[in-house]
Amino acid sequence: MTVAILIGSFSLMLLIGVPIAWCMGVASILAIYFGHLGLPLEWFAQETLRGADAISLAAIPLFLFAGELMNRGGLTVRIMRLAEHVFGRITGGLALVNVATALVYGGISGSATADTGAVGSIMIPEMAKRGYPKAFAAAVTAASGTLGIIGPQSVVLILYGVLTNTSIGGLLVAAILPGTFIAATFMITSYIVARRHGFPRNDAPVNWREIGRDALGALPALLMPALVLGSIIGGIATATEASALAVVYSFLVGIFVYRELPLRSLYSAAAAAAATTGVIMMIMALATPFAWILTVQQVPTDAAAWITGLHTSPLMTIVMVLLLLKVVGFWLDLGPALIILAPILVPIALDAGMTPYQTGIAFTMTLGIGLFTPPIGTNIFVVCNVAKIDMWSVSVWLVPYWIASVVCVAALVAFPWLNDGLPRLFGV
Amino acid sequence: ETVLRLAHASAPKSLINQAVQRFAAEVSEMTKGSVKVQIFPNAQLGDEGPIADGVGAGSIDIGLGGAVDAIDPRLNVLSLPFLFRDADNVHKFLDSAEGQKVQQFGQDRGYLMLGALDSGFRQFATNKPIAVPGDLAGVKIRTPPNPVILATMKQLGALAESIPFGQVYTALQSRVVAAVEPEMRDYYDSRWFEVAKNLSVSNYIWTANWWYMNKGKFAKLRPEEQAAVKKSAADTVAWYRGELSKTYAETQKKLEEKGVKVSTVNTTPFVALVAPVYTTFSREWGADLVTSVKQAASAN
Amino acid sequence: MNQASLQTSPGGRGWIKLVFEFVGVMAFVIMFASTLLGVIARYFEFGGVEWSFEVASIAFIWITFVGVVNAEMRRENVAFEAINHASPPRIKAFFDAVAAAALLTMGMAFLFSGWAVWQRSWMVPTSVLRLPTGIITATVLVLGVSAVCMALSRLAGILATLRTHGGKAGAA
Ligand code: NA
Ligand code: NA
Repeated sequence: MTVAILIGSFSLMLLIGVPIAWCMGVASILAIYFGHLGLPLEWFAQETLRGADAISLAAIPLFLFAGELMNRGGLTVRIMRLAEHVFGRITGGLALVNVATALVYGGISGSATADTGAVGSIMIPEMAKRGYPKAFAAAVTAASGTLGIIGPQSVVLILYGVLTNTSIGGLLVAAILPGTFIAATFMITSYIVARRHGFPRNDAPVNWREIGRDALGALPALLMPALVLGSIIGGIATATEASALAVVYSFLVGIFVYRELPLRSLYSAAAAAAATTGVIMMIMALATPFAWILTVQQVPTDAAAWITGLHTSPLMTIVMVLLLLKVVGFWLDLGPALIILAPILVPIALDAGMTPYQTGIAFTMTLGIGLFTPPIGTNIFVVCNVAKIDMWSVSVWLVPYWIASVVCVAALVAFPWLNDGLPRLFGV
Repeated sequence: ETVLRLAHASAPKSLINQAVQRFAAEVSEMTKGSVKVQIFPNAQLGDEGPIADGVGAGSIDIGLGGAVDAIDPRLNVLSLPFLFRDADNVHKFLDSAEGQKVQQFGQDRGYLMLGALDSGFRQFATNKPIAVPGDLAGVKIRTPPNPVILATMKQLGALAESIPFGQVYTALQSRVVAAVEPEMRDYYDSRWFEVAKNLSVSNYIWTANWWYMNKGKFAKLRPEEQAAVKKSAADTVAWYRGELSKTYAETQKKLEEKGVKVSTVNTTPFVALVAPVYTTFSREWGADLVTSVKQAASAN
Repeated sequence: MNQASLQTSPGGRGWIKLVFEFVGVMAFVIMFASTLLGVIARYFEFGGVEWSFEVASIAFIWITFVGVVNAEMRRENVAFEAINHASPPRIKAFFDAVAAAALLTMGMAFLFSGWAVWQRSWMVPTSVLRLPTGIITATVLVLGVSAVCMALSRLAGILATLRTHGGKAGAA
């Protein structure tokens, strides 16, 4: 009953256009009011604050701001000019650039949401400028932003290692091949979509002198991800702190190298970064009381127990386990979903014949798909807010990427060497 | 039938969770099923801080954890550096009159203390073993944001760094920090041993998993139910203490199998350095309390 | 998009907008500066800034709560608007009224619940700086008040529109 009120009222409000954050909040209030959960008045504010207290996501506003500095300081335009030469000759080339950029940022931040913000603030306006539908640009960004949680800083993989007592070093190495594989699959998907819709292509004759000049001009801008990644590998900064260094670097290049950054615009860029962060983090914050009710009502646990009791074939079990993760991923953020489900589902998956690394990566990827699946997909919220478009128009363009992700997860399950090959090679 | 929500932040297989499962079973048995304890492990309902807030407000009925600011900051007195020698020393103190007095804290804020389960002694985990205070000088060490630990690190000459729990592993891996100071079981569970291979056992700070209940909720139970809760908690504390040394021996064995070098630190030169920490916190919590706790701790 | 429902005096609204924008930017600057300070202190190996992490955390919470007020004022809060936009004016006005009521509910919930938290624990110290946690709880109250005001102004706007147009099509 409580759960029916919770999910029913959420869905109704969502459909008529109430902002997602308030849908979650009001649904929780209705559920506790009519569901007789006997909770104190303080509960709602306490849980919302608990959800907002997530300093590891501070990379979101910092990357958004850095992206704005890159746009206004002339970094983006130079990178794009070069990308036009190199990738622009392929139909949908900028979509491929988008995926590649996400792969680089994925190595930096370890948070899919922060990556989506970083790539989105740079790529969406540029792609729109060059004739791509804005909603498509947003969709590619939302999908490829998922690469952040399979990258070497992945907070999700580390949490998985802790929860299931799996070697974290091994997991991070194991994720390299699947991460690249998924990136490649997303690139192919983008290419197919681009061909079908006839997206723009650069047909101008190749001019090597121009390419050389533009490459040189773009060099300081291109160094930014390299330096930021270097600050992490070199032990200077954590993933969150690196996003602050990204701000400093793009500021310095915009002011002293390209001399294009108008100082007056910094204020409005910071205000915009704060507003976008508010939208995303408020959804995360209000998802916390929402998830609290689901947890206390034992919804995920009961569902997991149900699968355990089915005793079907190994393949069927794996499919059921992943489906359950998927369904829960609709409603819970990755962290809470893993905390509740991993201890129950991982042993089932291992029994069904999956290897530990394989399970970790397949679980992470399955939950990752939730990030760009409505109704509660954090990556979608980021791109909608950055691009100022509606969820529906993005969702339409996301369909091919959902299919691509399902293919990827199936491949991860079918070919254990994709996950276990590299760790075996390195002996971790 | 009354259902009590119990929340803690330890893993489902941890000794803490085993303990509260025994507690739940005993309460149910003693009350013939009229009181049921529903357990939420693994920080499912939030980390230690939010658990304390939740129990205070009443959304959670029973909680465990080391975050005490919401209950009574003076509970931190038991975490003063080098206050206790070993677990036996701690347990005798907790059962003494002074220890019982400390376990009355928090009543005026709506908390009822059911007991204290050892979170345990914290140790140094680094890339090179710590033997003398000089080995810690200038070392970047990740600590939780706890005022006593921060003050202690300052006295020991180390540089305390705040890094969110989820990023500590990669921070150790890339040498953003060179050390951590976990309790042994947490060191194993968080898998920091993969990236900081030396465990220097110093017992430098003891921390509790304070076990507390919402006072109003307790008052609403019938007298025989209240007695069952208290008796079961006391039995659980005793059971937990009995299992503790076995668990540590097992954990140490597992760590050594993973290639961790475990060494024991001669603490005498460290103890000499931390006296100012006692002075600082005497000002905050009252010199009487600090002195009497220190006396009672060294009396056994 | 929905101009008709924002009918407070332009002067007053502009002023409030600027204040919230300023607080958001300040919180951002504080978070950025203290995060950077933490990196610098570690690189040059000086201590004494253990508080930087806590300041960044508190500023981040302020960014969230003030930022969402800014976004809501600019009508940029993420929503699923396809059905709403495709609906005929009267039904759309009804949907907008429900949305405003939802915002009002949220505002009240934040106000009452936040006030209860404030009363019980505003003086509980933060872990490092030992500041009263009231500086964190205040964010909930700020959002509560803002949400109630915005919701009431929108409801008034929707009513006024319906009255002016006498229920005829063509609103907004
Ligand atoms: Na995330
Ligand atoms: Na989702």
